[in-house]
Amino acid sequence: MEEETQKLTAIHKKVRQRFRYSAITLLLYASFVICYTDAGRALSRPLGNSQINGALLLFTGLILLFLALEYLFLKRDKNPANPRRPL
Amino acid sequence: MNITAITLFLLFVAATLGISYWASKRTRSSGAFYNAGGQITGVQNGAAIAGDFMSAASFLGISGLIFGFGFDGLIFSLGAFAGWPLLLFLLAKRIRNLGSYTFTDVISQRLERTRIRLVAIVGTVTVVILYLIAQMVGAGKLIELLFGLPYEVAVVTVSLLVIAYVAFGGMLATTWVQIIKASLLLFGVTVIAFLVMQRAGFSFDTLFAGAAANHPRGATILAPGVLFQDPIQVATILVAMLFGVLGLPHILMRLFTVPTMYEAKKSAFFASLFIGYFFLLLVIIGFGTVYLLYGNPSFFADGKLIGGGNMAAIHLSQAVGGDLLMGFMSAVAFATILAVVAGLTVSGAAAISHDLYAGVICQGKPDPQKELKLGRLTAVVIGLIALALGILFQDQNVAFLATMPMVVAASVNFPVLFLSLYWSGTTTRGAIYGAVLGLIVSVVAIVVGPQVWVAVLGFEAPLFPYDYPALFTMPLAFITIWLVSITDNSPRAALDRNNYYALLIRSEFGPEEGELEVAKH
Repeated sequence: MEEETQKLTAIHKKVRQRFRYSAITLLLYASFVICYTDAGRALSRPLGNSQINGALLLFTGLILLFLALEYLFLKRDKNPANPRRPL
Repeated sequence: MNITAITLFLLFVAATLGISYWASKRTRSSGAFYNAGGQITGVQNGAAIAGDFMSAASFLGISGLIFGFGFDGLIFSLGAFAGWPLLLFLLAKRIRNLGSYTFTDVISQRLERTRIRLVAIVGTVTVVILYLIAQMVGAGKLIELLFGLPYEVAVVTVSLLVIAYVAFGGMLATTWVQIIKASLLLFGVTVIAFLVMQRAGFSFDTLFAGAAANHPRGATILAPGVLFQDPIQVATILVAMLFGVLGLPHILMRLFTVPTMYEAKKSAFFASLFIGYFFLLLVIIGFGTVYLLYGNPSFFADGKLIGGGNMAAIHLSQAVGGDLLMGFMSAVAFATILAVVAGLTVSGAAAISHDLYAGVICQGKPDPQKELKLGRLTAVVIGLIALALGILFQDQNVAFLATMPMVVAASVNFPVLFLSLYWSGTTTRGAIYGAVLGLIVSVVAIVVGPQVWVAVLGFEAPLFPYDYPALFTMPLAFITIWLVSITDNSPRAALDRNNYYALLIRSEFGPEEGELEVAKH
């Protein structure tokens, strides 16, 4: 019974962690819609003298951020049988 | 007729048929047929998932959209990419620990086996058939353009090759076809992107400035708002693409081809890595088409791009790499279709032979050899159905068919899968009502939307304003499952709720030994 409770506590902790990562991903993802609102007009303007604008940077940044989040998630979510194993 | 393309394509076909022959010697059980014996490594599986997912629509369609409308084409790239992190965070581990061959295995662990399997089979087969029609019609038209082959010859070639891969080599052959295709595609887009950047002096500023200078719409193409202005419309696409990925049966099935749960998670990460890399290069390729094609009249006839917008990336490959690179990319586009159709065929075959025959008709105790034979036979039948549908729909506007699988997967498969894994209150009745309502409402919303009501049926205005209704239909399915489940007082509902905790522990810790052994019949 005690073992079961411990397992459930560990699972709840993991689920919270998963939902945190998912919520961050969804929030970042939803931020892309801002490009299409009045509030996000500034993202359409070129940065300085360059042709690159905030929307293009946002697109690239989101893909790289999602990859970084996945890497971080895998690093933190270690194998319980072998905690030193990174993936 | 492009001789280079045909020669390279024949080489690809010879290599993949050789692999199918090799795989057929190793596919002696239904387990090997469905999940390649569970012996694919995480990196290989990541490449195969990428090969399964990076379709001709992604490569040619998105570059074509950027060619025509600039930045707005990137919405589809982001939408198609963002599902992968969530697959890793929410689903990979639990699906791998609970299932054997299909996502239906996972949801039938705690819900009433027969009824929930039947619903999941309907969801799977609907997605597979819709996806197949879009792929086959796209394949016929694309190959007609690229190779100069008649439409019917193209459709027959795709069907016969896919039947050969899947019926004989099962998931093992399909996996290697997908890995080879992913490697070729990633190599091809890397070469094109490099050559485009070389032309731009390795300066993004020069690339974007050149694109803005050449495009008839000028600098507006570098920013959002040319193709889409309504933020709700953008949200509908993003929701359908993201949650659609999480409900695609042929993608979820790939999580069972690796030996352990850790390899499954690695698969999801490496798939993201390959797909993310691909979509980042599409930015260069997409704006490269604008930069290098608009100023070159040899790619235009009567003021329009030869072959239409979908040919922009192929023309770009010729502009930067001559006939050799164009031939290579044409062959890769053909291979791309084969790999995607093969993945769909395995998934459809598993839905019938494993989920229906073994799971429902034989109540989980099938004759393994009969099941394997049925799997092979189903693959042949699906290949023939794909052939028939490809010919039947050849003159139809199938753009809407490309939207339907993602919407149906997001509105039917994903809500049932997610709630059965994460909410203890889910009951069989709730899951069935939610899935059925999700399916009906999403199909109706697409039919009365712009893609069918206006473009196909010829009405002046759509009854529903959005192409991708998942923003509305997916929450409806979630609410229905919740509402029906909390009001369900049947004895089965009590059992479904009680099943949750045992399933929860197994989904996180695996079987008692720790890592899940590959399931065998």
